[in-house]
Amino acid sequence: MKTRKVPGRPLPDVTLEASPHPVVVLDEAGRVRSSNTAATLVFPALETGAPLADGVPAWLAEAHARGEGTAHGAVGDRTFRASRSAPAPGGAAWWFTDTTEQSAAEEALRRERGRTAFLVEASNQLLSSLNARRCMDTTAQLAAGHLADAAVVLGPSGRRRIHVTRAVRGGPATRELLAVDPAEVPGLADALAGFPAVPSRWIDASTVPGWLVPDGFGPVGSLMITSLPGNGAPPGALVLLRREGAGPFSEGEEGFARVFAARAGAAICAAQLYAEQSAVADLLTEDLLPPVLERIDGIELAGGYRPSRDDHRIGGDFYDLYPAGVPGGETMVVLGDVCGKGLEAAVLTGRIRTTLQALRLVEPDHERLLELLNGALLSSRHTRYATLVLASVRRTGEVLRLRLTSGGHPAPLIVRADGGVETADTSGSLIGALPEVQATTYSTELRPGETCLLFSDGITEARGGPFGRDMFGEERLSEALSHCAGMPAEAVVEHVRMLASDWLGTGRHDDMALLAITAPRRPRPGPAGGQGHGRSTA
Amino acid sequence: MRPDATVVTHTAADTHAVIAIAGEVDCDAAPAVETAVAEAHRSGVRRLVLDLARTTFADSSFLHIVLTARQHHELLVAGPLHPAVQRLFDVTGTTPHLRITDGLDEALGG
Repeated sequence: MKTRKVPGRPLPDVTLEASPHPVVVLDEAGRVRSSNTAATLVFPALETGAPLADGVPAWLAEAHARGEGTAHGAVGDRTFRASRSAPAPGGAAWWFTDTTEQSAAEEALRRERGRTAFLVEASNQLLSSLNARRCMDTTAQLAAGHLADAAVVLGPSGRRRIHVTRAVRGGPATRELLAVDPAEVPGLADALAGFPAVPSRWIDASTVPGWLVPDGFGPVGSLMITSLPGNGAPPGALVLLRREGAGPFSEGEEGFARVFAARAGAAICAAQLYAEQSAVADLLTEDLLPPVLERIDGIELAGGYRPSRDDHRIGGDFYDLYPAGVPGGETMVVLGDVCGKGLEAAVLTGRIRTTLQALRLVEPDHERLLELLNGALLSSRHTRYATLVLASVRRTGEVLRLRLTSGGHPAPLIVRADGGVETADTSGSLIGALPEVQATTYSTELRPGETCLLFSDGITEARGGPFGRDMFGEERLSEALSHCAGMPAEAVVEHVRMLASDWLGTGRHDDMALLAITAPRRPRPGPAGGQGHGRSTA
Repeated sequence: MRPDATVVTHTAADTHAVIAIAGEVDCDAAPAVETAVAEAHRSGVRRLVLDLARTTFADSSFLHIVLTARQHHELLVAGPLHPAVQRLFDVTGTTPHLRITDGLDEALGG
């Protein structure tokens, strides 16, 4: 700093007194020449004529001795910034500014920035895993590293035992399943029930049971307990431990620990829900996977299902098979498309499949069957609906007698022996959304080598082609099918599936389902098969 | 980005709301339509007009929105409908359950 020299005269005391800032004026020898009242209030030991070092803290005396222009330090419980000027040749004056509030604000800002950075880092670490156990480990380690000397994550609690995850600062997390009573720790049972935490100063650290404290931690100086909110799932609890002599948790630290616990709780709960959901999804998918189709009672069946690439999503298209109970009886297949994806759609698919399985035993008529199914689905709370095609097939000699009914679904295509492709003349309304449904059934026969193809709109609406955005469309599907006369069912499905896949390229697509019903070219001679057994259907 | 992105406009009067949709409504575009329908629902109008004259394609995600809206509003569909949209209503058997008009004027006056 540049100091301006004022010619020869000592500063009049009246000027010093007028200054709100403490001022100390020194002579050439570094002795106090004068000071104002503000200075004597801060430095009561100052004496005129005595060396500066006798009346001020060491940091100021040393800065003066070194000839520095500014200095900063504490006086009692306050902090000051000192600036030096030279009012007379050889002399010096120190001016003081109280920086206590400013320093406190700067410190608070630094602390706040540190906390924000920690929360960001904590969120990143917590959300990087959808494994609940790893989330709890991370929570314990982060809390031990930044909020306390050790941290314990408790929960979720079972009937008698509770998961206890402990971490000491800088160490790994360890987990145990303990048969302990959380009520042994004051406030812990409340935290596990999701109630607000008890202020830590009310908890006697000496009462902490040994099972809570990590091995080799030593005596606990202070602890605080906070709930890990479960957001619907059972909550857990976070216990922070400090060693003896580390000081209690301040109100600010407790508040911050609760903010951290809220984030950690959300992450753990998300991971738990995810685990639960994927377990349910796995279970449902297992049950909802399309059945393996093969030749049944002289009827060739083949199916192809390509789910949408949205991973881990189920629902959408489905097909199912209900074999005739007796040889020569009527076998029913269904192919459908449930509106929506995910669990809700999967549940609806399951209901349709099981309802049809039961209803077909008492109601052979398709239109009536769809009415009953509609009634069963309408009673549910959701406005989800499905479109589907029913096909009932009975073999009469080498001919398949076929009844086809669309419930709001694209009508099946039939490829004849000569390569001609027909659209089954059936239409109807979708199921599960309208109070009444109507449908018309189309009856036809398949001669050897002829195929009826049931498909979902995922095939016809598949976007791709040379420009990447045209739909595959029913015309291309018909064209593809016209080359399938005389092919076995399996080959028809493969052929169409391959063309649709080529059309798609790498583009996104909806579920795609195909089901082929084919009259075999050379029916296997079977003991119960043969002419005359089939009853002609209307 | 598809060249013909779906445009949803929403004009509301005291008694009715009009949602006009241009382009294709597939599962990517359906949420925008759903939002507009939800807004109309919140505004409390009795009559909801879906102006589909410029809608070139719609799939089952759109149909779900239509069927849900039908439960809360006096729903009118203003055409003339593009063949792909007409086909969606025909194949699913919903045409007889919808009031489809030849134009927006008719929908607003009717």
